[in-house]
Amino acid sequence: MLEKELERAGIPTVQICTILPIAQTVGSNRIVKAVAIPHPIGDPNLPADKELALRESIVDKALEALHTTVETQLVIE
Amino acid sequence: MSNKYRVIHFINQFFAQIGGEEKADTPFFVSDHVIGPGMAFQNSLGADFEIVSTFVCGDNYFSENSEKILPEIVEEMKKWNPDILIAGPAFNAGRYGPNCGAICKAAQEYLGIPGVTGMYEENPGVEMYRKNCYIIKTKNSAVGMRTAVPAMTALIKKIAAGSEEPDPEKDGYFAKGIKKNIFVNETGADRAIDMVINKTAGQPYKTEMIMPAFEQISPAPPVEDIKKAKLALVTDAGITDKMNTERLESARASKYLSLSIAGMDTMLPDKFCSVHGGFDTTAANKNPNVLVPLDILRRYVRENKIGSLFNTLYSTTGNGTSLKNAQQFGAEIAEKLLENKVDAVILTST
Amino acid sequence: MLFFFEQSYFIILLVRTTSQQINISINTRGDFLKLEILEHPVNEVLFGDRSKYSNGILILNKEEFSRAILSGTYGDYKLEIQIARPKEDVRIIHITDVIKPSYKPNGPAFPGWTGSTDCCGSEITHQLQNVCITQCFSYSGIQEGIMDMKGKETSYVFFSQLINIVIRPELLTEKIEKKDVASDLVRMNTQAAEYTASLAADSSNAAGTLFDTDNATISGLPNIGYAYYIQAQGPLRNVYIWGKDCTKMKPCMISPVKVLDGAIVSGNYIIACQKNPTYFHQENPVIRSLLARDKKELNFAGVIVSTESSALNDKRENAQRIAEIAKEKGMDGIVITQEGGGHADVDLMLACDACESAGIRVVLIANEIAGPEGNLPPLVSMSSKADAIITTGNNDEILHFPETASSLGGTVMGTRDASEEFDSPLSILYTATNQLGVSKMTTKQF
Repeated sequence: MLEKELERAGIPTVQICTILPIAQTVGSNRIVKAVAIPHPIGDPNLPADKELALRESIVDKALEALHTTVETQLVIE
Repeated sequence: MSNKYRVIHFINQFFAQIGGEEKADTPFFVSDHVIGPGMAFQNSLGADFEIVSTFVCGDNYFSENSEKILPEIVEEMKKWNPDILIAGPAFNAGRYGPNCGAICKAAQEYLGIPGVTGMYEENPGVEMYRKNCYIIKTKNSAVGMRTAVPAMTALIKKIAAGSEEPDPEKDGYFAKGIKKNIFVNETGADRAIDMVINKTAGQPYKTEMIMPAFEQISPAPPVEDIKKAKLALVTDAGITDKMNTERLESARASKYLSLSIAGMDTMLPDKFCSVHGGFDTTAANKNPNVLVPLDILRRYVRENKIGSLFNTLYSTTGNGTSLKNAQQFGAEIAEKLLENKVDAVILTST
Repeated sequence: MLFFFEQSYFIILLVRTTSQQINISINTRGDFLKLEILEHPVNEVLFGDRSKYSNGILILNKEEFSRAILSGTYGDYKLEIQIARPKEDVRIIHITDVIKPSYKPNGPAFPGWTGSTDCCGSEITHQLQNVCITQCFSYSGIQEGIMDMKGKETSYVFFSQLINIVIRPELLTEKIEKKDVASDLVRMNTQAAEYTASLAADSSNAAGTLFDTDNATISGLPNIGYAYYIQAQGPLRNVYIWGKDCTKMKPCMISPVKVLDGAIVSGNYIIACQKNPTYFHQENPVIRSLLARDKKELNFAGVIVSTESSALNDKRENAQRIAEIAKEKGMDGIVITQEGGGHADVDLMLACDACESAGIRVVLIANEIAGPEGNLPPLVSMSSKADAIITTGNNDEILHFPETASSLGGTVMGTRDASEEFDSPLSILYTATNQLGVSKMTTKQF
């Protein structure tokens, strides 16, 4: 709902979240898949360098979503 | 002192037999007579009900002056001490319908009396006012008067009797969209097993929960140049300052926080934590950057991959948050971001 | 309703279970199990010098009871024990869990917690009727749950109708890990439940119910099963099976009779209205009803238990696995329940899709977050195949809570006095919209 209100005001917003079906049903326009609920942008089970790479890839996907023209809904897994 | 239910009937210039479209600017007046369809209603309602007055107003006069005359109408209604208001029925008339809805809503709000009207499903008044009054489903023109009147009076009698709660399906009105918790004879478990037996046998069954569609919002245009963009961070992961000074709730958040991230290159665990009650916050409290990637974004600013970061982090708890609150928070945050010329937002959810 | 049981009547079945953490899968409906639950009625609970049960009166020696409750805990606690009876003008707050007094003469009533030898699901179990143990505890990360013993709100909470033995531990140890607190809370409750029920073990005025499982099915009746989602999201939000943390558990069958006999215990403290307390696992209404209707209107095809994972891929896998197991067991129809909401709604929908795609007819039980007027979307996830849903009520409906004379479990709720009057959504009322289908509540459009 937060994502939609921001988009409604004309601010492109990307939602990074784990449980995609919720964001999809609620109708968020730009969605990027996160790792897991307790650590959406991280993974303490990985060694530090791999975790950093993972985190950067999620942030990069988020920036890409902000830069993309969206018709109805964009989901990046 | 009669024991009859006192009824006010509201109609427009056409049904008051004054004239058609050319008389739509007829100003509001009150008659102590029963006029037009009022007679059919009086007959149908019977001796326990009395239409004590008829309120008349031209469609255009009402629509164009509603802010001024609704208070006048309310004051006038009070003088007649009514128990119930009947408006129309308006069938498919596009001004008459909303006008009937408006007067019914005012009757409920200011006099506490129920309003009953009738409209065709495409009448704009249905969506506008179905929550505020009982709108009986009618045909799309006055040809339907013969069926609208008995349906409306049956509902009025039911409401007056007060022993049974009106039911949109049984009584033929547009569901108000209000849902209430009620108790029935069987437990949820038994009802579920009854339903699965029916469904498996190919017998009819009726779901107790229907999902209306979420409102779809057109996506905002994209950021043109990320390298120049000012980004803001918002989260529903329940982030607060370490002491949770503003007492953000772990569930059913009633507020959102505006946390300063000025001068910070990273989310430090001794400055921030999560109070979200819906997941294990251990990983997040060790390194809040896994909830809000401030460390990466600050570095991207230095590396010129993004323009700048807004120095306030907006945070709430997305655990059992009421959809209404979520909408309100979103709208308020959006306003602040626009004021601060933010170009785009990264929202992190758990 | 008198039932005399004799020593010679015992059927001693040693049921083999695996005690490894990951493989909890044991026992399908194929094993023959015979369990007798003897329910001893309790009309009054009092404190006294000697703990005993006689003629419907339960007397508790506070010191001995406290020692039994606190035995083996990691932390040190101060313990307060009080009684709240139906219609008393009292509000109970900070509720964590409610459990039914239960005791097995030949083994633990809560395997994995009050002992490890196992005759769960067989032999005799003594339980106390009309009474429950209600635990109240204040701790960060635990959601507020309340119930009133008097007034309109009692119609929403099953436990308002019972005599509540309210145990309120207060943590004294300063440095203690969350997982140890989580373990202590469950230990205290299970020990309290066993202690109280053990007092009735020699009593002969119980109503007995025999639970008898076998493989027989009646042709012509539909095979109906049950998929039972539980939460396993770390300390203070774990539901335990055989005393084990289920975070890594994959969907598997579990004996319904064992569920009724203490196999599933709750250490999950979430939004109050949709909590499945241990009591409701012990008395799972879907299982109870399926057993009661077995071989009359349906063939009870068994129970599949699964966790509500916090990762989407796991959710998808679990849902597929549930459908596979259901298909293997020849289920024609299945009822699916969950605990929680939000991302747990997604599990329901994924499982519904997977089962319906496999030709199994699905009915879901869920509560709603439809807003104060009931006009907002009831769930955050939906599927076009979810066309048969039982609703257990709208969490957002606003209730008015009257002033009460006193409160148990604490004196302050958030920033307000616990016994003052206030308005609040139904969601803070403990188990009010419980999604196992305990209550007769539903929602209706107006």
